[in-house]
Amino acid sequence: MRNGEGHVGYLEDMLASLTDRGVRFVVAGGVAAVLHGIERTTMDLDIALELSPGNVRRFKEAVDALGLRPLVPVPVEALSDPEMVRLMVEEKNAIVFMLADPGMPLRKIDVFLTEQLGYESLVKDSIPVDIPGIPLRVVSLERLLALKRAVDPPRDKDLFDIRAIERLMREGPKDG
Amino acid sequence: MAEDLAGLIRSLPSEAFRDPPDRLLGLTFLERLRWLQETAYFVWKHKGAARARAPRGRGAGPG
Repeated sequence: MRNGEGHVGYLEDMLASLTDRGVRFVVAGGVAAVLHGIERTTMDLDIALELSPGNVRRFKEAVDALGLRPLVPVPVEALSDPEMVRLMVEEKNAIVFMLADPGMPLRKIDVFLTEQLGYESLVKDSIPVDIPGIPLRVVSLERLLALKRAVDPPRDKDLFDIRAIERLMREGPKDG
Repeated sequence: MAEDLAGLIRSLPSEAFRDPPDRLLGLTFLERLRWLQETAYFVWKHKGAARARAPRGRGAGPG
């Protein structure tokens, strides 16, 4: 983890590691909600990853550098094989491929596996966001709301996000 | 090789591909405290960054 003169949190650290290597991805989930202005805690970095062999290779380099390991004994490279992704989704009902730091399990990246949550689907509804030194693509507020409404059954955090997004769209951001 | 990998995936229980519901419970007090600090820091620093959209060509996505 980066820890220089200025504090760099683990979420920034993970985002920077991906963008520094040119990994193509779209940020979704709680981090996207925060970037849109919603005040909520978030544990994981949820991303839609472009699953071409080159991009998955860059992604593997990034997660290796971060010390993240897949939570299942399946190599990261499997993400670039459509048949392996299909197996995980259709036979194991997997929605995400999880990678975490064995020494700090909350340092975690979830890569979406389903077509509905795939890169090609989300990138169309994403916007560029620049947090200092880290250029990102983040799923739009409208698509984030649609994704949250599609969670069945919704979890407490999904219901919280739905209410917060609807309020944000209705009333606009509250600064401060 | 691909057949081995497919066999491996098939051999794993479906639960292995889902988030353990008690992930937070397995953390020590200090780990929870650190997570709260990190999350609060990220929210404080970057909340609403998408409102100040600044397109750039480098890095993630096709720009």
